[in-house]
Amino acid sequence: MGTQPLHAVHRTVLVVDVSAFSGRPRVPQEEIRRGLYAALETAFVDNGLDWSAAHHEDRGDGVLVLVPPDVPKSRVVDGVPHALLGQLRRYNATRTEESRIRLRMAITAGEVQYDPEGVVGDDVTLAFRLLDSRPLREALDRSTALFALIVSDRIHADVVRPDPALDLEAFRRVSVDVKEVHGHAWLHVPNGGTPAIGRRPTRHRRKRRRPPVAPVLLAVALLFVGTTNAARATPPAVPPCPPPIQLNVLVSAEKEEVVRSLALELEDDSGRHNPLGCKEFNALVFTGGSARAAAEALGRGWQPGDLTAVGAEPHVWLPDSRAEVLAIGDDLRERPDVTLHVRAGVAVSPLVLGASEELAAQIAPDGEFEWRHVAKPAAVDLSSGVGLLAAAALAQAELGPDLDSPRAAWVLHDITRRTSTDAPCVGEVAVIGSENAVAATDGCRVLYPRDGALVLDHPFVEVERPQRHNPRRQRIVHRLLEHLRAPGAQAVFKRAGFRDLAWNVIAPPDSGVRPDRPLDLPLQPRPGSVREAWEAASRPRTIGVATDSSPDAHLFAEQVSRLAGPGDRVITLPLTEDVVEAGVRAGAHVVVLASATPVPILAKGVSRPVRVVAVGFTEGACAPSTALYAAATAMDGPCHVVGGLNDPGAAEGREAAVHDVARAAWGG
Amino acid sequence: MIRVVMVLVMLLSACTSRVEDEAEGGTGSITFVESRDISADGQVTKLVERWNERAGPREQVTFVQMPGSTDDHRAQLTARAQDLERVRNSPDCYDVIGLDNVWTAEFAAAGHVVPLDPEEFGVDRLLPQAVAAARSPGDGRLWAVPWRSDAGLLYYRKDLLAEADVSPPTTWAELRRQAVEIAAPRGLHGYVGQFKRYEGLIVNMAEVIWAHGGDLERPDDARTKAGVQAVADGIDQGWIPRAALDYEENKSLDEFRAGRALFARSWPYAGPVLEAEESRVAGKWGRVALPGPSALGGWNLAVSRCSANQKTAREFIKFVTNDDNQRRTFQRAGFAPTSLALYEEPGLVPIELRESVLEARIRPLSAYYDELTSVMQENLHHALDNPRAVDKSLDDLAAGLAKAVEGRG
Repeated sequence: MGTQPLHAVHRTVLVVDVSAFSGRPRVPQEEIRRGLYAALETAFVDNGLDWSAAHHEDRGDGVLVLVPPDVPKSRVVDGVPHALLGQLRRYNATRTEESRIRLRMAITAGEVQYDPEGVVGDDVTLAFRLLDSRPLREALDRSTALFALIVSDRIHADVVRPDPALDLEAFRRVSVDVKEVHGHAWLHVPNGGTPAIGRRPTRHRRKRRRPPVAPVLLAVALLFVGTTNAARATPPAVPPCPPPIQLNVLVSAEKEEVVRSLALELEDDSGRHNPLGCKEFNALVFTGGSARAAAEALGRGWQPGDLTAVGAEPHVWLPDSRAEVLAIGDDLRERPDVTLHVRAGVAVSPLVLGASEELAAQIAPDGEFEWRHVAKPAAVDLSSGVGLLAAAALAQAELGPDLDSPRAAWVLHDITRRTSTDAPCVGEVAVIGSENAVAATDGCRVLYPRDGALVLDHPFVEVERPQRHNPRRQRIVHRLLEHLRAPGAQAVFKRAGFRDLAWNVIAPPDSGVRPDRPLDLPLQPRPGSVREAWEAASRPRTIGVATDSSPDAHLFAEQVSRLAGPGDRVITLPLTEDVVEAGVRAGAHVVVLASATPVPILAKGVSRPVRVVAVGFTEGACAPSTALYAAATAMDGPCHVVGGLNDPGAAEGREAAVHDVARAAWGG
Repeated sequence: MIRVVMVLVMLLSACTSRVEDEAEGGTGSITFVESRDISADGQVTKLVERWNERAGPREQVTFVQMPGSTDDHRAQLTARAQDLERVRNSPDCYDVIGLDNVWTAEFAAAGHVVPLDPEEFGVDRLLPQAVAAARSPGDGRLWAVPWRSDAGLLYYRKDLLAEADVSPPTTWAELRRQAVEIAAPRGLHGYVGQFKRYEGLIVNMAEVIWAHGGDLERPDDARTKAGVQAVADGIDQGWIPRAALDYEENKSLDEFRAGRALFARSWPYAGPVLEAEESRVAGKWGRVALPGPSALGGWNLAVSRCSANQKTAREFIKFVTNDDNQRRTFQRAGFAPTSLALYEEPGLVPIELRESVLEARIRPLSAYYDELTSVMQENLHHALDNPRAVDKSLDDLAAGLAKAVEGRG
């Protein structure tokens, strides 16, 4: 049996069912099962297909087989039934009536998902519905053929019709009306014991059927090749295909796989639906390293250096969130060469928390949590769109829109120092991520913020270069947008764990994903400032503290030392005239002077700029005439007066001073 | 079909306007676009600097490097050329472009590059197959000038062949025998190549197929099938590791460098890699021409139709491809030359490389090479993974090629 990926993957789906199997005695049932498997396996191998690479599941009366996408579908539709027929004949020839096999068979293709219960996917369901459909049952009942085959409309359009090796007339269109399937499918019954399909045409028939060529299109195609003399050239029987338009699609890592498969699907379709049979575009789908690098390259107008560092110039950008577009908005406003048009979204994913079962039970017994209970978030990767939003969610929960408040640096630093690089969803470590990614992560239970979740809105961004306008490409860009928003693609997004545009989701069992629409929350702070503030708050910093021997100063020094995260250092400096320079030499980024007694007049001038925060504990300690005040203001730093130990307002004052130290160390 | 496109392009160029005449004789600053310059000390950059020192201030060249992946490189060139169709004097025009030799026909058919006068570039002095790959398959017009060439070599374990007292193989059958008899008892892979589903697969398979007397363009020919069957059987029998179905250049060379394979197919650049510190086969390897013709790799230089300064562009191409500069870039950057004279200079080009390049053949020429290669990759990869399906896969390929050759995938 093949490997079983967790994400949605494309498969050709083949299901077979033994006619009237359940009415037979036990012994022939066993024999039939063995015979059926042997026949299937041989039919596969005879077509050069690896039976062990195809996933197969026993379904009682029959078998479900999933064939990997690298196997041409035509081989499954054409070769396998043909070979199977031979195998069934051979098998039946040596069996009594009650052990003989006749089969119903259905073939579809699409995205499937392997979950612990088995295989799921709309096209698996469709295959079973078709297998169960009345036209197929009747067709087998009314004939003596050993099998009857039904294929989905899509297989017919994509595989049967375009393949000159398959006999179109051997398939009959039938209406199907079983449970949720209402539509058309195509039925094939091998004719008079000879399979109508599977016959290789003779060489001259292999030639492509002439596509309908309208005179107007012919002229257009010739014009495109670049001549005004087309009329004088002898028009060829089928005009040459114009070169396909190149379409470069920059996509976030989260969506890369889905978007690539959808873009290639549209690319292939463009050839099938083109009246001349010509492929209309070539898509290059790439991530450009990190989302941030890609966004910044766009912000610069994609300079020559970005070609080697990031990749080809994109025509479409599919970031995780509009916030990423906003983050480069200021850079782009002044650029005449690149304009971004944010079109509609293509999928939705709320930003959620992933937690271990224990943690989930503790902080969110009902599936909803509050941010203040997230003690150990997994480290946030700011280079991705999801990471940017995760940082924004944490910041917004504590600070609202205002990242400039006096508390901001202290709050953000406190969050960043609590982040952990240990495995997420183990013990206390919780991960903030997109609903689809968290649900697909081992051991993670999806929890929703009680006050509402920020949303990854996956916008479709058209990259316009006004100086190099290309209307032909623009049409393809718009077609891609339409394709990504159409029901077929929406189903693919859904199977990959995203929500579709109507917020529908396929909730994997026991993942915590809720099928209904969770409360959503608008993003408040400016995305650009979130990134700046978060990065500043995560910088490793050295803080030098100089105190006199007073209990107030010691208490304050202790509070300052508690600010340090794993990457930070707090060092003690002697409170002498050249304390600031001593701090500089020791690598301090901030020097804190805390003294209840007057300090000596400090030496002026330091070898490197450093921030200074001064704290006095007596009234007038920060009067302009004091050395403490002079020391702080010389470096543009604040001087705080905090009441003594017995002052009821002291705690508050100390806190404000500590926030100032944090701002000096981790503020922007 | 390709011929038809060429005729139309010719008609276009025949009725040139005054603007185009001006562009053809135009001089001025230009942009030169080539692969990422990863050579030691940036030899391509240095080459451009040398031009800029000599040329007047009016004819300076700006060097723009393309993304490292060839897919991205091609996408960037194609999109830019499409944006500037019918545009003149755009500062965004890539005047001189480096094209993989298999893309040249496509860029010519699309009208992105202008035809060149073979006399002006003296292409008779260049490798004839490389020049053939720069001409349109129908009318033989020249669209680019071959600059760098590349050809495959068979790397072998000198120490192990000496122990077994045999010389390196010159036929595929001999290679197979040595791989089975010498490698297997020592627990080594017999042979590693590039059999992943990408362009390298086409190069490797073309070579094996030629060694068996077949041709990629005739997939249903018995000799073609025999070539494919040989590799498929090798994988089935185990003397080519199954993992090689996922090998590109680096992974296959890693196996050889780690001392896990008797033979490896690689390019000339592998030499220094095998002598580097982390190599476990330093001093223990040798290399010879492949047992059969190599596929000719290489890069051509072409002049974009959007260029307003085509005279400067042509002069720059002449400068880059002259013998002195080819000698220099071979010695300093390892780019195998396209100039025949350099292959005759004593002591310049090692004998095995000389043999391999001079005997190399080109892959199919087509304006729809992209379609062709994707159909070939799909079917060949499937055949290698399923030795019993070689016959059918190649019949399918024959049908697929018939469509792809017209750009109808």
